[in-house]
Amino acid sequence: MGDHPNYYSIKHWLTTTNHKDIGILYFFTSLYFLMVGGTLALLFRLQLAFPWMNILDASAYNQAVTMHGLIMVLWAVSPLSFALANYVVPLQIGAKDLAFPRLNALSYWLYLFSGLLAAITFFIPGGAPDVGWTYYAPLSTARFSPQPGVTLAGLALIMLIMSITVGTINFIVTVAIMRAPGLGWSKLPLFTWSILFTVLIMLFAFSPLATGVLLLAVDRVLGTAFYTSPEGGAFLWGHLFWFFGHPEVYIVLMPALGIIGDVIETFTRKPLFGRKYIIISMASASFISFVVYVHHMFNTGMNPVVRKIMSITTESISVPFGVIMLSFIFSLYKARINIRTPFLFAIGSIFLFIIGGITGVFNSSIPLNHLIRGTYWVVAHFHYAMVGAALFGLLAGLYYWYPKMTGKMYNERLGKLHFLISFIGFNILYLPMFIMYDMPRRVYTYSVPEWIPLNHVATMGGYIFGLSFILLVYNFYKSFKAGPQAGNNPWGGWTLEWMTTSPPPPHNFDFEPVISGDQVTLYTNGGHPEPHVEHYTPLPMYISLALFVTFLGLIVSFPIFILGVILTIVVLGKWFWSDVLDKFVIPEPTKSERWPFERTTKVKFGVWMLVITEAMLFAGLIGAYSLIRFNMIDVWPPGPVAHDVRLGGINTVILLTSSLTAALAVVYAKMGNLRNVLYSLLATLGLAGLFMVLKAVEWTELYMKGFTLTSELPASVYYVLTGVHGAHVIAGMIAIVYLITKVIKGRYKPGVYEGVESFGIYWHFIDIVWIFLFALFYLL
Amino acid sequence: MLSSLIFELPGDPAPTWYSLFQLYFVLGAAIGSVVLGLMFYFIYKYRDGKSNEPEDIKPGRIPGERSNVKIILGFFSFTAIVLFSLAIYSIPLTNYIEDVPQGEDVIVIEVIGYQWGWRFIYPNGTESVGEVRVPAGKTIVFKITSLDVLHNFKIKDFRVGVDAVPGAYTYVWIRPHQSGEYLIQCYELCGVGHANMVATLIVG
Ligand code: HEM
Ligand SMILES: [Cu+2]
Ligand SMILES: [Cu+2]
Repeated sequence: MGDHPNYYSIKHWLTTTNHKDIGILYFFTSLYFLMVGGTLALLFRLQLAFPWMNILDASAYNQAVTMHGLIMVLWAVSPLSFALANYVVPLQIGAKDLAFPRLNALSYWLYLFSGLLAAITFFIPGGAPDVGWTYYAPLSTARFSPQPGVTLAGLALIMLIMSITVGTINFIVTVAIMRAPGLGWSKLPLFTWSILFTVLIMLFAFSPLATGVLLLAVDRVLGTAFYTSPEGGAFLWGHLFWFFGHPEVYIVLMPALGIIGDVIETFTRKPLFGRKYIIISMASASFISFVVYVHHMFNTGMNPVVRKIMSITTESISVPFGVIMLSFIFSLYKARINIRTPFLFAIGSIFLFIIGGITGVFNSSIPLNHLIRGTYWVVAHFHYAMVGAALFGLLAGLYYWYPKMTGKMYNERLGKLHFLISFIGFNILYLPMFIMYDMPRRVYTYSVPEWIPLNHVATMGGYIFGLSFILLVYNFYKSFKAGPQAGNNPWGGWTLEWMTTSPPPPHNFDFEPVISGDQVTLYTNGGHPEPHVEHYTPLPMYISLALFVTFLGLIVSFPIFILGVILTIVVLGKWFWSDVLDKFVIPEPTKSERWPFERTTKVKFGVWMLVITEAMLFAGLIGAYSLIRFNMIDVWPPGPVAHDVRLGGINTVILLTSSLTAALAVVYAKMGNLRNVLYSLLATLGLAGLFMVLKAVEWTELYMKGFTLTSELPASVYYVLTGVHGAHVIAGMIAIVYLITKVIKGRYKPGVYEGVESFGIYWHFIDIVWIFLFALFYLL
Repeated sequence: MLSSLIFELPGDPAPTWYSLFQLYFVLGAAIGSVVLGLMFYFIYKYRDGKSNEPEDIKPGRIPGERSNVKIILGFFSFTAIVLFSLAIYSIPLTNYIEDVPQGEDVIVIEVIGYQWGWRFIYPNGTESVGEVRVPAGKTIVFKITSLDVLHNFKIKDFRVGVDAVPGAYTYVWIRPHQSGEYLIQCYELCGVGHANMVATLIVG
């Protein structure tokens, strides 16, 4: 720890935990995936230029579009916003780093390796997944797509979800309790707000996706029939995927809206018009985004009443966006507009979003949707929204913060040229697709002659748009090498990141920003900046690598899988041990603004967020249970018939008792009685172990009776739900072992009980989940 | 305008679809251009060097609120009214397009999508693959399902389409006026044969 590796050494970049470094890593990685996804797009655009093109055959074409979609949405655009968020948000709130720097590094490395895992599918037998980025079941099941790439990309997705879960919790805690003294919610810059909404949506949206992918993986690897049987099937996937999928598009969009807000403020020299209402609108859009997803299933013939309701909610989600857009535009009124590259990209983003949003309203009309579902109209719509609005907004942010990140000014003329060419190219690429509102998407060739010229034009636009990014890379590279010095605040922005040097020092501020009223004061601490220790650790990288090996091994070779498992266990052990020894301690911020969360601590708050996202995971599972059971209402065996209520009841009592002992541990920890803490924890561990043993007995009995994982759907549902719950119990037991070790090692000072308390929260949660499962399976 | 096309449409419910699309299009284009026009006007009018407005953004100072509740409320009601009117207006049209016509003279043809083709079963039990013949002037109901994965059954010239779902039935109806041959195609990725999963509707 003590010796810091040289900033330009490889070791620095492999072991850093500084948020600015992580931001830069995110930037280069997302740029890489942007290039991979872009190359795929240019390939299949070439294939579509004429119907008789012979560059990709049907299978290669499907692989290309599938991977293009997956990579762009999940590994390119959204991570690019997290490049900026990582770099900028702690600066904007006057913090020294994120709440959990080491977990932040973990997010990054999991993201990188999950992306590589997805990309590697191109090189394994059977190739990359070719089922569409939406992974529709039953096409994505082993029966119709047996190639291992589909499973591997699914595992990559699970790994990415881990990264995202860790990252979201980190950002929420940071923004909630690490703001500079006096920086109340109403004073936060719009970008920080937008990231907060983004991670909040992520917190709720991604775990149901994890449920969906998990069931798919179980289907594919262990042979269950969640998605091949009509009782689950296409609808089960549709609900789980789009419950995630629709909010996901706002996850992609939200950061761009924040950037536009900051950029407009800076380049118009006026406060945003209706700032407060913009934030309220963002909040309501985030909320409504969870109740519109059926608009992706209008064609499935599902319940017409639900569809009509979701048609209306979909149209109503445009209302907050309308307010946001009109407020942005009104901010230009009586302003003093400085037209620079970031401003141009921001305006471009608004322009394209308005087209994307208006065409989205077309999609939400059920009769119109019957035709345009599955056509190039939808392709055009979401590219206007995701590439036009989101990516252009992110580009605005990149140009805007480039001088802050590098200390150098980019070349303005090249920047404007990049805007011009990319904007024109973009429209040549996607406008024709609106006219092709009756051409199917995801086809490698087509027969209707009217579609030829439009496709041809679109392909040309695609190349103009794609190649325009050479200007960005060249500009950034050249300016980094030889650009003029930018100074601390080249744009005259008011937000805190402009009040430190460019680039900022590792600890962000040589002084402490304190806000009172509307005034930011810089306290220099008598010339002595507060000491700040930089932590370096290779563990996040090792863990991600070990998981990468494990998942890859699962698909390609068993010995590699075993190697991966061993590696994972070793690295996790090392991580635990370094924590037991308090090798990586970041003091709780003492002076920060944290209303209304004054009474909580970082770790406790983080665990609460973890509980929320875990609750969503189980909600997804219970949702799957409900759908399947509802569809099998006549044949589903009643709980008391299929299961041993007595045994289940005993287990329930055991687990509830363990909740009691866990609560006792917290009480003793508060009293400072470490010996009794130890006993209570040991009792909890014992009870949890007993629970698992009885569980195993029960499972074995059921298996003997022929009620096996793959014997029938109710059995599959039972084993997966109780199995996932059991895995959580085991995770909890590992946490207990950790706490016990820490107590025995004498690492707990009386009065410090955060760890035990956080464990308690998690443990109670797991017990509550069990009560639900007990009721659903044994009693109902 | 688009309405001239209506007379070339081969049959119901295409004209209804077009009139709705046209409504959305006209409204969308009008609102979009007014809003974007306003944006460009502001940018032009208040661009640097032409604008004498004072600068209110200062480093080290948190800017105050600049809003006017009435204007925001205006934005809100404007978008809400437009969108809800459209939503409500769409409902009867949705019912018209989605409600499956019933009666003596309705011809129900079963459609089975599979990897990769369409099979049609006529009311009298005869089957055909890759083409379906229907008379002009009659109401035809397609009762659609799938043998394997999701497909999407669209007859684009009639502006109708719906998923073919394994284990379930979905419906579309048409009432052709003009004889001719029309393309039936799958609009949901269903595997390598997806692009060629076509059939012909022959009206005559
Ligand atoms: C503001 C109002 C918006 C409305 C009313 C809207 C509405 C819709 C509707 C109804 C669909 C379903 C079309 C179909 O597949 O049949 C759709 C598809 C889609 N929209 Fe939007 N949308 C809006 C904004 C956005 C934004 C901001 C994004 C992304 C940043 C986005 C991304 C997408 C994507 C990715 C799909 C298609 C996914 C797929 O099938 O592969 N939309 N939109
Ligand atoms: Cu959506
Ligand atoms: Cu198909």
